[in-house]
Amino acid sequence: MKSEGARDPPARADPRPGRPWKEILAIARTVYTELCFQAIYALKLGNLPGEERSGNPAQKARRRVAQSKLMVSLLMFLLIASALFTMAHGESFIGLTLPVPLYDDIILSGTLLLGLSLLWMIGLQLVPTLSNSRVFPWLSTLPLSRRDLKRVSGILLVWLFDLPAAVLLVFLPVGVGLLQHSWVAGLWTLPATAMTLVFALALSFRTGRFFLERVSGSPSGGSSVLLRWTYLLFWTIPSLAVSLFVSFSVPLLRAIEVWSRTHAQLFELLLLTFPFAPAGAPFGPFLSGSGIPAPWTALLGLAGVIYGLLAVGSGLWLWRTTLDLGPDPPATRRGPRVASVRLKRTSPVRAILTKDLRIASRNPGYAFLILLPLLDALVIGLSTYVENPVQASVVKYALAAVTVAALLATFFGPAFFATEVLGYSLTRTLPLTRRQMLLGKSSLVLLIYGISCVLVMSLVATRLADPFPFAGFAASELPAVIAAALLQVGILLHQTSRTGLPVANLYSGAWWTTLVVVPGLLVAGLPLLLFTLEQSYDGALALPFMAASSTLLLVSIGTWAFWGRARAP
Amino acid sequence: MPSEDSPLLLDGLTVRYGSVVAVEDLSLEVRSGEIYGLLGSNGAGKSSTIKSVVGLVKPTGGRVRVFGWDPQTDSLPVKERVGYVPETQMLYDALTPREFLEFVASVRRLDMTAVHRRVREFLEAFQMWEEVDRPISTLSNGTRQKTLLIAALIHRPSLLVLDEPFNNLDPRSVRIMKDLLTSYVRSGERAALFSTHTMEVAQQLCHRIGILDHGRLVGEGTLADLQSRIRNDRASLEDVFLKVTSEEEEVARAVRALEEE
Repeated sequence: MKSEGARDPPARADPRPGRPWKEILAIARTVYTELCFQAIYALKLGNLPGEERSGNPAQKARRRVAQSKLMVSLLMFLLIASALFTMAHGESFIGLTLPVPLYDDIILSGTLLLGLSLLWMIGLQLVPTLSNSRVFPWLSTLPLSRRDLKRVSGILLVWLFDLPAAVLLVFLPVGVGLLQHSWVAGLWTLPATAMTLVFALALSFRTGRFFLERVSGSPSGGSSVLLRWTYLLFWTIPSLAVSLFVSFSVPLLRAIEVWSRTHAQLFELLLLTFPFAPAGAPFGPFLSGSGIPAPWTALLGLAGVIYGLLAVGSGLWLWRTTLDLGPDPPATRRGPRVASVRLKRTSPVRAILTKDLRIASRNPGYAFLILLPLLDALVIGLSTYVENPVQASVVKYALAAVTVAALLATFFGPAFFATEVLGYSLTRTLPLTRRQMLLGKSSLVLLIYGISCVLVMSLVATRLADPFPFAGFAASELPAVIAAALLQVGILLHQTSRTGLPVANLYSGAWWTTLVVVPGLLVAGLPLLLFTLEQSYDGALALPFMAASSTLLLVSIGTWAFWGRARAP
Repeated sequence: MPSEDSPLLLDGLTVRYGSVVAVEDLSLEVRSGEIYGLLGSNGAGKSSTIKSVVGLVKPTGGRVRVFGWDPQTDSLPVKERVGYVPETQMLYDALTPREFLEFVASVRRLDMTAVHRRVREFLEAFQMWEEVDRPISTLSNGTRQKTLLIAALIHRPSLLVLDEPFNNLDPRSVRIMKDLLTSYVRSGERAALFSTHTMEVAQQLCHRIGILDHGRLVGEGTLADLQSRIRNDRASLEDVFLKVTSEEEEVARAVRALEEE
């Protein structure tokens, strides 16, 4: 028996030296390939690469991840290029009277916020994949020291964000340097850009872990559902921010200009926040000539230093905690003892819809697909207030919102077939008819479209002199949206029963996208196209044309889906 | 003589995946009131056989009849009468057991008064009261397996098709399931087909056993039938299995090689 006060002997330190970088890189390469493979094929969910596909599936997965990173980097490049163009020529074009250094600081800050949102958005998609892959818990069972494991996780982190991060880190400072005709100014941009990158990664991991705990692991029950959807709304903040920046950069700039005059002191406080303070560094020497008091310029420098220290802290936090990313052991996840279990029976079609909504409410990736069309409708609806447009423009905005909702619902709808994955094998053994499956899956698309329309309608109702044309437009598009959903789900049902494999990550393969998404978009888009063409010609028959074509599409595709080839088991 | 209306009738069943033959010319019958055990090594064709029965795999050749219905062409009556537990835990990870069972009960259009009672009894038996509202992704493999078992039994199916049903279960739950299976078929109206690697369980539970080897049925009958076939009436099912599949020598050789190392 141990005497009181006796201490355990200290644990023996591992005397082995760290592994050489060559070995660490080789381990990281293997883990990265595994991550790509899981991200593309959702292997753990039962979506195996098909036998008929040629080539090495692991290499193919890496290639597809690289392609997707390239697309995001291209978007980042375009956004930065647009921001730099606005910095160079925009002020006179937009008609602002802000002092040049201030204007440049605001544009650079906006660009950094855009970069932060975009990287945060990528991070939020990556964190669940990283966690679910269980690569870190698996790695920790290997005879590798904690330091070596951290090196592996650090390399993985770099590889996961490499291209978009490089675009931000290189292109932005070089661009600013060229515009200011000063390499020093360009170099001064580098700390703010690096801070943005570190904050984006830290935010991704912090919020990603929060969502995994509070959303994916959330129990059943009414209040939990509400809480989950509230959290999921926060999940869309980065993408919403990107959308807002892109759509409303000019009105935002004008609002800032007005604000700088009417609320000068508050405006100076705004300049102390991130990323305004560190972004002002390249223009700091000039800020004193921009109406900003000299002590504030010093304060801006001090704030920049504080943000720098915070970024170092965030970087260290990332280095310490990335490795711990993984699901908690099941033993720690026991819930409270339930007194009784009341199950609610619904129709099979509603059961499918409820199941998909419940899955989406615990999976930010899928919830995003529901929330994005709704938020987009909300943003376009709200823009009728921001821009203060005339009557005709309000109608145009409302029609645009409905058009976007119809196309987005159709674009994202098929992904809810992918929610089935391995569970679908069990569902196929339940007495569920193909018709019920078609209706269940299509009803979600209909729900997204319906809520979007109601949202826009309620926002613009008071601003429309005659709301009936708008209501007619939304109603005329409805059959086409249902037709598109039936077509897409019909193709998916047919293909999966033929190949025997559930579909996951629908958008990872060009073939699936072309086969499923494009036909749906064409069906949903055709009545909209007819409406636009007829409006530019005469306009009187635009709505009847649209309604007739939409109904015709529903009748023909509905017949195919319910009684045609798609019905075959 | 096999009856077309038997709970399960396989007649010359063949399943091929490309050039790989998983099941070849398999014929067997599961009668009412019977627990039929399918034994076989990994890759012997047990899961492919079971998947053909529930309609997940389309046979390349032969006939499958469940109470006289073809699972491929008359899938609905088959699905209404069958309760299936897959080998891999095919579940919706984002749902909780309560939500998953609600989905299954809704799709099966069950009377909820009876379902509530049944689910309550299962939760009590499997001691799952603390896990019923946790997402399935956070549950242990054993609890996931229990959820699958409840979902398969919730509608009191006429034919239970269980692929390695005791995997990951704790001893208490294994005992409950064994007793339940025995009483389940006792009335003579129901039947069960299950595959397992555990010889003791098969020996205790099954009225008849079929031994699969490389997709072929190499032995079938009661334990006594199989013992008499190898001319050893005291042989355990494990001895019978190794003898019938000609693996006895191979096993002994492998053990010797490992010991020498």
